[in-house]
Amino acid sequence: MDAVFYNGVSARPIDAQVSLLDENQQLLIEVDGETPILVSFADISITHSEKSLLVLSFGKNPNRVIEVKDETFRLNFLSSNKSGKKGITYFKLIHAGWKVHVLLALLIIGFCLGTYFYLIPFVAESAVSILPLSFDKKVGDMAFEQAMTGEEIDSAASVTMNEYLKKMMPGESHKYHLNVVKSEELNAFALPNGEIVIYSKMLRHIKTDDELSGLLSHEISHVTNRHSMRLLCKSLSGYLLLSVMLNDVNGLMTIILDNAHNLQQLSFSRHYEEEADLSGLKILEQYNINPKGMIDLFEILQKENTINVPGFLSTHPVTSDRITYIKQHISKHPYNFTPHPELLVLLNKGKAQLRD
Amino acid sequence: MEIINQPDAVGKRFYPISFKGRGAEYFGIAIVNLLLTIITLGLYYPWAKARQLQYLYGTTEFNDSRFEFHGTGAEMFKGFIKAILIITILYGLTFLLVYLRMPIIGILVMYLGLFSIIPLAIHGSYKYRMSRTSWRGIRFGYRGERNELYKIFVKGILLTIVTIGIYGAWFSMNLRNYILGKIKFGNAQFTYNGDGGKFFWMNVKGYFLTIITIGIYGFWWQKDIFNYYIDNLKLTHDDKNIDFKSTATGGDFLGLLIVNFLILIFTLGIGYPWIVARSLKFIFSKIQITGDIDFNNLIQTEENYTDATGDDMSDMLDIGFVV
Repeated sequence: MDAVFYNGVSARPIDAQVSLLDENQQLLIEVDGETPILVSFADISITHSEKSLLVLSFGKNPNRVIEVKDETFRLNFLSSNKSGKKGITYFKLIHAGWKVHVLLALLIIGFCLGTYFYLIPFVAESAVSILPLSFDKKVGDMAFEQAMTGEEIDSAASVTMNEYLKKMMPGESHKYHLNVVKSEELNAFALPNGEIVIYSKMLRHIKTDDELSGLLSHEISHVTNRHSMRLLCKSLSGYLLLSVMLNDVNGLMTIILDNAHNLQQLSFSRHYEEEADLSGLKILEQYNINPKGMIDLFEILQKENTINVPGFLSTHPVTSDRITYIKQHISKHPYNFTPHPELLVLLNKGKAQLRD
Repeated sequence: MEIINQPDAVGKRFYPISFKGRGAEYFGIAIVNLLLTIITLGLYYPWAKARQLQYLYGTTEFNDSRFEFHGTGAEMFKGFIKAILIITILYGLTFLLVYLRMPIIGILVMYLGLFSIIPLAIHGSYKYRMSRTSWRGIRFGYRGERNELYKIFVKGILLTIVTIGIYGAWFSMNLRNYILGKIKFGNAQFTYNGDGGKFFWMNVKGYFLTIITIGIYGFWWQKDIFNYYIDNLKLTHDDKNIDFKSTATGGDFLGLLIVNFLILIFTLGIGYPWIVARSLKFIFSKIQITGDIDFNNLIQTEENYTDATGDDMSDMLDIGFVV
């Protein structure tokens, strides 16, 4: 096969003949009037390969170059070369055609999207464990201040409700603080510092102490599971990834604090709500409280909620779903509970104290 | 072989130069490299870079022969590790000083460090790239002195600060004259003859006209700079020369850059390999090379140089290859 040879000393082209010795994995280069050169495939670098052009080089000093402008030779060289290490596989991949390349591109795009929407948030959520608990308090304090601006706290009812909490869970009540806020919204929420807010309308709709205990156990579970913190980390995952990679916990805290005021606007995922329901039930069991209160509570919510969004559209588990899985849980984990007349007294007292 | 540059009536020869690469091919390479880089958590990067350079050099044809890039992933990987170490040490030192409540000294150390790394990176980068580039087996080479480059840098930066940036044009031309003037192509020698004053007024004109025309003149400004870089370049071999001349117009640049921009936007960045390919095709198609050098007489003179630290450092600090 005709080729052009450059001897690595001068740029003058030299006409040469090349042939492939497949069995020996060697290339034979013959130039008129000179001793033939035998190079093993393993010592040859493919400098360039395209249709009808193959540029090979070998040797460090002098670095010799051989240029063959023939497609059959190029294909034969690529297929008979078994040295592998000089990038044969790579060239095959490169020449795999546009369909393979487009597929690879889609794969990479999919991978990037997956990383961005699933992996990074997941990592960020897990990063919560490296934050000290004292930090939850700081974030909660800021968010509480923000949430209470312009709100009217019913202090008399709040005092009674805190007494209720003390009687309900004697061991742990000091970690939490209840606030009754005047509002026509049927809602309650908890902040990472243990501040729990119950809207007055919610309190009015609650009939039994078991219902109120169910509500409180649910809200407390949001705090103990650090749901707010996890959600914040997840929604700020882009920045967080960087701080975690740089092991910069301080930077991470700054970002979270800067965003603490958004806390109330974030809504928990169905997963978090379910987790809070189930750990709430554990609290009820611990203090011998009738778990049916939680079901009754959701029935109240269900009655008030006129719009019923199908489960997969809503971020909250639809109330009927919640009732179903709570019922299932109760039937699987039966336990003995006792009535708590002292709690009912406090509930009624608190409701009576509510201002209009 | 030599039919293509037979001398014309006045003894001048024309030397064709062109880029033969295609966007689709380069896309394939970029995608395969990206995939391998992701799979190896970034470790493949030096090999990817070597492959990409190999393709771009291998598809650039001068006088009927392709350029060759001999750099390997292994060389670049070693350089990559060294460059990471150097930069990590520098940042580590800065953070340590800031942590020890000496932020001003810390920041000073960082700036001084970066300032002294840049000439080092440029020097190393040229030495490596040139030595790894060849044409018909004849290597290029960079014979600049590190200390000379430092002198130009120190003088240039100090005067640029003192003159609130005005000296920048002279600084840029001094660097170009020095670096390009130290580049060898076998036993042929490049020279660049830039003039700080001309370059300065060209940029002043470009700057104000661009503002007045709400940016439209920017393409012509771009053309002026490109032409200034090309037209002052020369290659000498014994008593023979070749001259480089740009035939690019402002309109050409307008077409190139607007289409590049549209490709980038409408493909969400995936079309980047096409932008590289068409830009290189454009650049080489606008360079006219004439003279009387017989390239068959080119002789190997330059040594191998395989330390890629400077090159990887330039890459990390994002210093463009051509100053």
